[in-house]
Amino acid sequence: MKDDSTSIANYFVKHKAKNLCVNAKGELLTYLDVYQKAIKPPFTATNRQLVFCIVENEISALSGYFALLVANAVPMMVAVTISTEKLHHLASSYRPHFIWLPEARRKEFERADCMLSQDGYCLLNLHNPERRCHDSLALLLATSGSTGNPKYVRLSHRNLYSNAESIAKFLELTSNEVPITTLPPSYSYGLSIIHSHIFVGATLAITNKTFFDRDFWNFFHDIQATSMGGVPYHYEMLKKLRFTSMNLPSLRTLTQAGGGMDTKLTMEYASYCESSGRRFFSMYGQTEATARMSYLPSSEATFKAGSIGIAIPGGKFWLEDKSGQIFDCADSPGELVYQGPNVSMGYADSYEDLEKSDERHGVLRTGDIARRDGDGYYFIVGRRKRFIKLYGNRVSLSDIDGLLFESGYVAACAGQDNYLEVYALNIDAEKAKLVKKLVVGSLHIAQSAVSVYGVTEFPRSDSGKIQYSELQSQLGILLT
Amino acid sequence: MSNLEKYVDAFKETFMVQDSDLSDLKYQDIEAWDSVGHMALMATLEERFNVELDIDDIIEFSSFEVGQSILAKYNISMS
Repeated sequence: MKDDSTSIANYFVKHKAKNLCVNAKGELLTYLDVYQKAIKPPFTATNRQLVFCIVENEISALSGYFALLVANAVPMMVAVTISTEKLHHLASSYRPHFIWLPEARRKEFERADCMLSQDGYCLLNLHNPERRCHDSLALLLATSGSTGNPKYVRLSHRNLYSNAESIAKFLELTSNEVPITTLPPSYSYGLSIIHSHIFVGATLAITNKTFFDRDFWNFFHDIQATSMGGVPYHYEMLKKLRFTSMNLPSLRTLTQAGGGMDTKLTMEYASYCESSGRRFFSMYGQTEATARMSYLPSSEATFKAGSIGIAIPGGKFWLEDKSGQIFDCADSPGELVYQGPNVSMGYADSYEDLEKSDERHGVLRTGDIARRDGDGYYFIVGRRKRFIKLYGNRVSLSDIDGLLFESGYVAACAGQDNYLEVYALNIDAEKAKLVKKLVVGSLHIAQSAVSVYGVTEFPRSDSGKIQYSELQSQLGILLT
Repeated sequence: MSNLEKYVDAFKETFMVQDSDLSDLKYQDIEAWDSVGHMALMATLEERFNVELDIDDIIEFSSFEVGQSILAKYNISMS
């Protein structure tokens, strides 16, 4: 274990007498169980080594992830939806020493040795040479969904600790909380819920069922869950289920992050919480800042609906104009810049980057354009870079352009949160369907979130550069 | 278009599947029918059949087959 009081790993010892996880079958995992697992082989061998971690919201899976944290390994979270091909590609870029994954996927690594197999998960030794990771490096998280981009965010022990501490503080978390899992642990928001509750010694209600499973709601009632988090599409699903008329007496807190949510929808949940004595938190963040950068206090949830709120405890926001000058006047848009101890060390594209030290020095240019109102609350008004959020995952539009190019299409993408527009050069309706299938399949999104347009040319600047901001539906013919 | 054709069509369009895949298709069997896909399917069915599905029915709607009996409760018969 890392001898540093500012490490989340120490909290497994601090809360050793408490229950960490419980599931619908009534199985329990205590904080002490994790500690005991971590100080024994084979987990002791993972110290300072890169370990791929493919985990779902299951106790056996998470117990391995937690043990890696305590053993001071460097886990790299990989989405469970990753294909064998992409996983192998990722493994050749990063050369992990070990991999913690479902037993069912063990056959994807034929030449690996199994060090431990327990309750459906196993730890494999891939026999890659040992490599030195930077001493501060604690965890690697993916920047965007499943486009296959090997770009990962390098997070330090201090990043994890400070963000968990800050979230626990502004949400006023206590050990009595019982958050129910709704988001994958490979996703920064999902993981931040887990980490912030470990900080206070709470018990996590672990399920990988969705809102559309009866079992999810049965478990919610049985375990008396007190909170859950969701990205905008979760709140659309809950609306479909007429959530506000459900009888959920144990529920105290709802949190929302993962992209801007329609203000009307935000207002519905904010008023529901206000009138029923619950708390609703709109939050904003990026994986590049571990998870959270701002929150809207629940007391302001209805007055300031649509706002991302104020910087989290320990953090600071400011706005910069086009020339990079900080300005201080209300209601003028500028690039949102964040400073805080949760700002990541930087990116990694391969194992060679794991030795790198902190490249950001606590400052993150978010790429989002925001304004601040007269009361000091921030509102996102646009985006500087070519990114959109699809179902909570930040997706690079140029990654999608690249993905299509590899399959033989010349396309440029545009759109807004939860809605992607693909402009493809010289295609017919048949090909458009294939384009849609490809995009829907690789991004795991709903068909209704994608439109494909056929164009004969792209809008270009005098210098020949594609003018992405001018891509709009009138330019082409809607094909599917 | 018959009710069954409309029903089949909604599945094919939402999940891009073939007729032959449908008869024993269940929630979360295929990647496309995840929670996002489920929401899209419910919206499509509600629009095509002009109904508003009850919360319990949305949750119980666990397969191509079960869906037919659920819609029958709304007087939408497939036969």
